Amino acid sequence: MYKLSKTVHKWASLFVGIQLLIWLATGLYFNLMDHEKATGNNNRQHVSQIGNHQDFVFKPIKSLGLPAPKALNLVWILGEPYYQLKYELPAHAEALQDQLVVHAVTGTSFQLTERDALKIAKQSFTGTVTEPIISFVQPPIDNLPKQKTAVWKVQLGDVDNTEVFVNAYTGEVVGHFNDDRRLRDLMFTLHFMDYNNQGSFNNWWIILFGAATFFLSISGLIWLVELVKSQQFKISFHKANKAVQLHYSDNSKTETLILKSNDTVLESLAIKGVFIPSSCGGGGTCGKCKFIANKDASIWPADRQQLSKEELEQGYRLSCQHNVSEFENITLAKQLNAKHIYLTLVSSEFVTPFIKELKFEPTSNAVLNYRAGAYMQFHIPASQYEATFDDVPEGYQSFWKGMASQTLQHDKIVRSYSIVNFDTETHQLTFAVRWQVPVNKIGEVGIGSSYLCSLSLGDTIEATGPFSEFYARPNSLNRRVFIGAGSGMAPLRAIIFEQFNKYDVSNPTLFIFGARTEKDLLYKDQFKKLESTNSSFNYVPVLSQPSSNWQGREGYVQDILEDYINQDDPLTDIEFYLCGPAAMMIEVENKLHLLGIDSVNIFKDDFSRNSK
Amino acid sequence: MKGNVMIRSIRKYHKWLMAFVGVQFLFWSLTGLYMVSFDIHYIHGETLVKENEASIALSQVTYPISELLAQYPEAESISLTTLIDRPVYLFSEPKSKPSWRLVDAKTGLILPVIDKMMAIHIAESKYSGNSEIKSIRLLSKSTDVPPELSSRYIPVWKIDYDQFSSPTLYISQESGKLVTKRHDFWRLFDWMWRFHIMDYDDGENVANWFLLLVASLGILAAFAGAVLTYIRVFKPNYNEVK
Repeated sequence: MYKLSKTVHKWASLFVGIQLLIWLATGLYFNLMDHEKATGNNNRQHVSQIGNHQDFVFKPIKSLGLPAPKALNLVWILGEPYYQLKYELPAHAEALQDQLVVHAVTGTSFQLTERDALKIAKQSFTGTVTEPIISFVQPPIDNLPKQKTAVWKVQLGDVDNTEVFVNAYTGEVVGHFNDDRRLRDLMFTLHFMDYNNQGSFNNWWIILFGAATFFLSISGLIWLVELVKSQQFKISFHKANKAVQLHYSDNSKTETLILKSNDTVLESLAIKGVFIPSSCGGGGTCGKCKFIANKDASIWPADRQQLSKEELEQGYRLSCQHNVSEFENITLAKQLNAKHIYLTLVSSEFVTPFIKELKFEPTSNAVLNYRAGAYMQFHIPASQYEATFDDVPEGYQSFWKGMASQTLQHDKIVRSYSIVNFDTETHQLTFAVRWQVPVNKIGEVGIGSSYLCSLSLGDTIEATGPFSEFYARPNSLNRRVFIGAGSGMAPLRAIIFEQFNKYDVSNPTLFIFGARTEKDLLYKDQFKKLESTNSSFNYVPVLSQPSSNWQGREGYVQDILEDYINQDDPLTDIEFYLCGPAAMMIEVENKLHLLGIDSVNIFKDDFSRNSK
Repeated sequence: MKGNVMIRSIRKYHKWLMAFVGVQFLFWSLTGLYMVSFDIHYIHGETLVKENEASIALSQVTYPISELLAQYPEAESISLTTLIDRPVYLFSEPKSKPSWRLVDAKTGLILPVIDKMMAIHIAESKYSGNSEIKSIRLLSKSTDVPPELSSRYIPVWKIDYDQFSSPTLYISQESGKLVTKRHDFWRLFDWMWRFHIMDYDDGENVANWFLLLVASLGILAAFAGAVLTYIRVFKPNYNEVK
């Protein structure tokens, strides 16, 4: 129910959206408006038009010779008596259409002349009239949507732009409309969603939006109940602090932090500069801020929605849903030693037709320790520039034929790229950025990749990281299979070289790398060399469009995968590391599941973040 | 990172503000939905009374208006109407008591104030339903007047019908006119209105500080919510630290 309520909340809020804000804003206007002024009657006065009845000889009603009305009134207009005969008695005076007004002495039928209408309008007004404009208006009348009979409209030309409406058949002043009144009426139109100007709030739109708002409110309240249940509304007047042991799952370090007891783990760690990933900001809807609590920590509904059963059993919880007060020990699934740094470009070279290898030096003397497979976030500033493709080396120029330079303009964006090297390999950070070029060379190039690939040597860019979430399982003796394609190479290369060159492992390791042509085989020489010096490592490049000289495997990685998994091996002892285009990842993962590989042994790096 | 901090605080504002004003959003939507879903004319009890009134039998109006004016020179708001098949003049004499008077348009005789039997008679001629009268009571003191009736109508006959929505017709003792009517849908509507504008006593004051406070906080909360929805729907990977 909690999960459903969140989905309802999201879509109902999207649907109701602006109208809800309009309701609130107009409601606030009604609360704050000057009620006197808003009636439009600020300068209106009642003037008795009653004459002295002794001056008139009234014609008996009986002898008028008119059809019998349902009601008859004696009315006075500019001091003269009239009989108003009503042939219908509608519940609302504006709706009256069928009536006759005759002079009470002569019996002649009455019509309000322009001059008299002007006179009545002026009498009803206490302000200064300049040059009045008068016109005869038939219904429907914009300001008076319910008025069913014709009126004289008198624009008085005063500072408030007052318009006086006088009923053309009875001489009654129907209303004063000035700027204040018009504003109020606009607010009512907005509040009542009376966009067809019916002068009423009974319409289907408002019923529909009202119902959606009801669902929005009720789902929000259910969400609130969930938050209360997960103790997220504890108010403490003294901000209690608490010492908590912070561990990292790779045993890299342990530290003691003084955190605020009644804040969430997510929040309190962020204050200390330890950023747990979260894209929803603590709503329990993205499921990204997990950490390892202990196995018997309480499980709130959002934990259950976002985490798998296995994860819950292993003690994973969402850091946005739990208060620090619950824990003595907090373990983060990876080392979150992300730093905010500036990087200077020192090398930029094409290594395949579309992939550029970029090397950066950190500008400060920041020492970056990270597990291979980590990525950096580049803060690409808002910019406008001409993307040219003139530094493509000769050997690759045929691939770029037909690509015209183009002007790019974009706001500030954030793009993540995996680091190609491991930390002790070099103090530089190397990236393999695939320049995102439309297949048929028509259309826009990717803005993130274009910005990075267009940087000149010496240029500086802001970045955050490294973030580690894809890395080799520590202290494992298992066989390892790395499967990648395209620029999904980056984290895989980092991990493979880290394992063999930094940790001297001897795990049997296979790297299946898919590409189009021989020229797309990024870092081929490095892997060939590793293969020749290390008997535990095997490199299997596979090409989808090889030249006729190609001696190796042909096809796609997912097609040849089975050939390398010996069914006699215990499958639980193989770890798989995947990084490549989404379609490839999905197909490979499905294939692995079919082969009986458990999800816990499949490690994936979401390649899509590199693809824009 | 910056964006992440921003969205986290927006989330927090939304959560805490809504913890205080969220329930009112439910009230606003529920009461608003009630008020717009029922036709306002139905709410106002227009279906409780018959639509077709008889025409005045002009031939019976043998007492002319000039004589009426001669006899009652202070008469104002004069009208000719029908009181149970009989043409009558109805007029007010603001300076005297009772302020409304009825005069037989045939004979010119002044009619007594409406008695109980007459009130029942009038009510029955107007009421569109077919249920029985449950109770009838004359309200003549302002302390008798229920909140649903304006005290300017007294003295007035309150006639309650024995029906599901408890309809009530109010008939003026002086003029014999049906001054207003009520039924439970209207009474409920008034309560809805009170909850909608957060004025829980008489529901007359939209400009109350309580509404001002909750609506202001509500706008802040809704704006924060709008940002969250925008990010949740259109930017699911917003500045994501994956």
